[in-house]
Amino acid sequence: MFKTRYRKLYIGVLCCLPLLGAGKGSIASSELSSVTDTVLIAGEQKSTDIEGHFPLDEVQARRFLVQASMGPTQSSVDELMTMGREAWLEQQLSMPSAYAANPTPGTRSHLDYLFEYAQYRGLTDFSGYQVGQYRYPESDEVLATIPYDSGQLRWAQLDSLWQIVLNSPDQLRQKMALAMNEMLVIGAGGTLNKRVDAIAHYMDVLARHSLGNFEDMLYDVSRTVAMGHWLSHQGNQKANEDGSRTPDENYAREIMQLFSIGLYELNADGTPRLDASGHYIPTYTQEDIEEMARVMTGWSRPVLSGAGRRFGDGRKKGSQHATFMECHNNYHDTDEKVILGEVFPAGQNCEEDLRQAVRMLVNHPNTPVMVAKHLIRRFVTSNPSPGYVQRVSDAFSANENGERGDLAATLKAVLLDTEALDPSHDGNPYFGKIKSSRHAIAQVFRAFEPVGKGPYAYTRYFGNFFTRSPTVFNYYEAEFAPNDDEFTYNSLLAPETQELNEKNLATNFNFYDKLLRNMEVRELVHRGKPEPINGVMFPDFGKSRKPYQNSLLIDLNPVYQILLSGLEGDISRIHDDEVKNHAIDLLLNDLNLRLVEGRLTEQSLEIMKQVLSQVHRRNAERKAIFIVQEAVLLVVSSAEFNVQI
Amino acid sequence: MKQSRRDFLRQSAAVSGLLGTASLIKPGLLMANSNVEDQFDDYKAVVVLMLHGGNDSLNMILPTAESGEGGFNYDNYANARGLNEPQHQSILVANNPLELSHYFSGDRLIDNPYATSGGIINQYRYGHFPLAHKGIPAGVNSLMPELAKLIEDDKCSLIANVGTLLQPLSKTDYKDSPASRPPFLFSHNNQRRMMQTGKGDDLHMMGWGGHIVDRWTMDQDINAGSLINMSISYGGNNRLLMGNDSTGLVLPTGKMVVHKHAGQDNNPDRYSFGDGFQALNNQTDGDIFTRLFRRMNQNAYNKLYAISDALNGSGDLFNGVSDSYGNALFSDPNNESNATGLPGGADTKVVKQIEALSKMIALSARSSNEGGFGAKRQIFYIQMNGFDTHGSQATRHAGLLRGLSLALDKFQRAMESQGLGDKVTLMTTSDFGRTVRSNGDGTDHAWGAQQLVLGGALNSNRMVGTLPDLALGSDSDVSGKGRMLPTTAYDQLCASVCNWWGVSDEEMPEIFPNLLNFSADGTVAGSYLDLFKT
Repeated sequence: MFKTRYRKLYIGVLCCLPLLGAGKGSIASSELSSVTDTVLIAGEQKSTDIEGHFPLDEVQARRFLVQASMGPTQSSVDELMTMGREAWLEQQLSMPSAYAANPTPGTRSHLDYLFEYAQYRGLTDFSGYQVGQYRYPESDEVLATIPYDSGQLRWAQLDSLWQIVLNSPDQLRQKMALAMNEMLVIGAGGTLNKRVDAIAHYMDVLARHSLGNFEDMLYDVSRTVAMGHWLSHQGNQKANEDGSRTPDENYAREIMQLFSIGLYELNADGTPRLDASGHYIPTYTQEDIEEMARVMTGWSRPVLSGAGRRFGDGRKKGSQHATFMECHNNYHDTDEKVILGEVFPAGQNCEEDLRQAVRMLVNHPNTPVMVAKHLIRRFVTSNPSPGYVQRVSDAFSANENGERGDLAATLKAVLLDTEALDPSHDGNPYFGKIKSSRHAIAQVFRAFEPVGKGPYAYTRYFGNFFTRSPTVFNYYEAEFAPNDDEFTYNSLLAPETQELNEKNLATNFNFYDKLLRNMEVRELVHRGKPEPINGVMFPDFGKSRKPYQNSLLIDLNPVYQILLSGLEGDISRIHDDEVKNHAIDLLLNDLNLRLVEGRLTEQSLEIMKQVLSQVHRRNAERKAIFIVQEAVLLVVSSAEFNVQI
Repeated sequence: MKQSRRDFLRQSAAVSGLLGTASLIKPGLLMANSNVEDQFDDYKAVVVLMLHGGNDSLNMILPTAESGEGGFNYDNYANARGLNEPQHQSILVANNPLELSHYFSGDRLIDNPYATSGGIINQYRYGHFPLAHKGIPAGVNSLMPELAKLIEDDKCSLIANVGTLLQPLSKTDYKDSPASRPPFLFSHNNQRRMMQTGKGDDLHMMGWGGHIVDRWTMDQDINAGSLINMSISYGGNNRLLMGNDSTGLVLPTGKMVVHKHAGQDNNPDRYSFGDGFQALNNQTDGDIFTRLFRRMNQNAYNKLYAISDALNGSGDLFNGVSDSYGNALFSDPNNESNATGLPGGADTKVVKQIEALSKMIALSARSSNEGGFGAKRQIFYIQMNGFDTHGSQATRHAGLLRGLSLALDKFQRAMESQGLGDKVTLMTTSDFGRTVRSNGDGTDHAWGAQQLVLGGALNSNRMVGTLPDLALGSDSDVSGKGRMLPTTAYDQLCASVCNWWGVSDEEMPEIFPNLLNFSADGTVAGSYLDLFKT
């Protein structure tokens, strides 16, 4: 009786998730502090008994999932607590995916999703395509002619990303792929804006190798049409005879500076090596770049037949981008090259030269350190201790079989290090990081049940979604330090803050405000939740929406139910202050655990209670809904939520 | 009747224990402090326009002499760019002089010189406006008639072959003494940072803009009482504006953004939320990241509301001012009926930045009783993206040059309409110049380049410095690909502009530690470029 009534009136409640308050989902705030205050023995963990040293309560499980996934869901928390961290990681590493030689039925790659969404949006050029037909890299078949310059396709690619970020079970692989996209950066700005199918292919290449070997990843990345266009070695040819044209140096420089060895020599613990007069020691010279540029010649996107097609002719309609470049040896510089003192013998083709270059860079002593620092900063903490960097960089240098570049072993070293697991951070007083707005918002969506086909408004508000980095230097500099006395004085980094300027903080806030108070949820309630098509959620109402409208909504029903339980099921008691305040306590305790791993300070909780207790509405349901919306907005815009400790 | 914010505060004062009230009062426009030293009694602003990615300035300012001119001539240029190879012509610009006066009536463009048939590539290559009568053996690309006009009217000067340097260098020094080179040459981010710090051998230092702003806000409070920041960026966070105590305020280029429905918009329903938001962010305990984020949250919330209120109250500041086409000053020419004559379109995203910047300068220069911010000194950072034209140069660079020309013209007109034509100086910078030699359809990272300085405070020198020898392998070329060894240091350019802005000779060596290496006579003044009226 009551339920029917609230379903009619409530804007934003959709049903279906089990109550979080039941069972192990609930921890009272008084219990939280005792958990976090527990003193644990650091530095002596045995890989076989991690849970013994660092007990896995719900707070620690959620904390681990903030690091190792795109955000905890109640089911992932339950699963992790049942399995333990190591078994969970092993399961993630062996999870069926679209990237195996024999892909598991039902799994989808970025390109799979892209084509599906494109079809859904009525881009009929995809009529020859069937779900699951495309497989990287076994199929070289031209699957479909991609519509050139299609804004719809850009939206479809973001749809695909959201599906994978929010719903894919192989969370570790996908988070790693996105993290590597922040090191081996490409973005859909500039040259790739009209070639988002190439971006989807590129993300598939990263995802395929993200739990494999770094050398394979770097080799394949270098061959993608996406990277070829982004850093312009697509269509790059050897110098001509009079020397008036020489090879493009763009990719030659960035594969060294950004993608592998970096600018100056490093110790294995991440500290810079200094020469006798105290200066940094450069890793390469301009001459090395010029030689490397000769390696990066002869690559062209697949040259389709037809009049006027020639080497590197990549900007015509009907061209194929979601694939690898081809080696055209007559445009490749086959003379001997010497890079970083290593000889590249004459007569090698583009593939042999590239393979040798990539292997040389991966074997450089800097590369394990560069990868280690990058992954620690993306997954765990902005200012790791030198020991932490050393341990991860050692894991990259040699896994248990002595293999170099094993990314799964490297990632395990990142996530299972004492500094990451220990609630007191192994004595690192500056442990933690700021979340990027991309990751923060993904976490919010996953914490509730997302409904819809894609939050287009996200890109309208932010501009810098995943795969939308404006330059090869990523959304922020790797070593950005905020202008803040404490950070400056202690020489600390907080790279993500470079994006979080005044303007972006306000737009983030406005995005959450709009998301949480979106009146159109009412329409979903009336129509009921639609059936998925091919396992993908395409609500009918979404089809009629303009691409720039926000059509991904979140289901606040679970937290609404918690508020309701505090009212003892009688919504009218929301007007009784004492009962209401009790219900608000329950609501805040839930959000504190669900979104912040219990880190809201006592004072923060008090302030939020005061705000929520002042909400005025005559209508009981509207008042209750408003309290829920305000509570979530307060938490997701709080400092506690936006940092990861 | 609407309940006012103040009424609400009175009513709710008793309700709130934890929600402090001190932070709830919005900063007002306070009267300027009368103790400011006399030398800062006027308004002066510096604008740094970053041509992000490395502008190929040789296709902006073209060598036009057939030969001679110390090697800065068309023969060397055409030879290095492979003029005679048909497949490379896409990045070349033809040596075809145009008469500027044929295209302008008064300050109005009556015909587009580049509007010929044949697409954007031909227009990029169409010709140039000669500067020979100004004593410069170069011409302005035909896509930039407004820039040519600004130079013609003595409102813009060229800085020849400027780049990052620690000390004057010869090609021999470069070859024999790697330690004398600036660190990490030809690398985008490091070269930008070196220009922005002015402290080239230590790239982790603060920016020169931030350094000066520190002094002018901490040691002397020059903008005393003004709520507006001394340093503002319309191009994101960057090193230039970062000091020890100051960071550039980052503002949007379009509509002003504030935290909506968060307690400052006269909606009583939201007051308690706004109070709570501020109280949450006023907390001082917790880990360093949480505390950092609270400070960022609080600052953004307060600052954006205060600025938004002032901007909303100012009305249309540029009513009746027109652009070079006779249209409204900040109309986007790509929206006018093909007014740019450029089928691929001009890259006019920078126009939005120029509009926001012009409005901010106009308001900042006004006193508080005229509804302004009453500032005395300011520095701004704006940015045009997309200059890293390794490939597709002929199409992409063309649109960028067109956009740059429009932007410079609109900005100068905006400043003059406010009586600030000689109170604001804009300088362009870029990561580096690009190779004289072509890589087929673009050019690669190099070093020295030509930059522009714009404003009414310039003296009669239309070019400062020495143009390089473009012959491959010449004494200017350090690598055989046409990487020009700079003969003027960025530090000299920046220090000269700062000196006009009000930084004293005594302060200069601390801000630009390598500056004295470039002095003609061992004095700080001896390192300045001869750019400004005295």
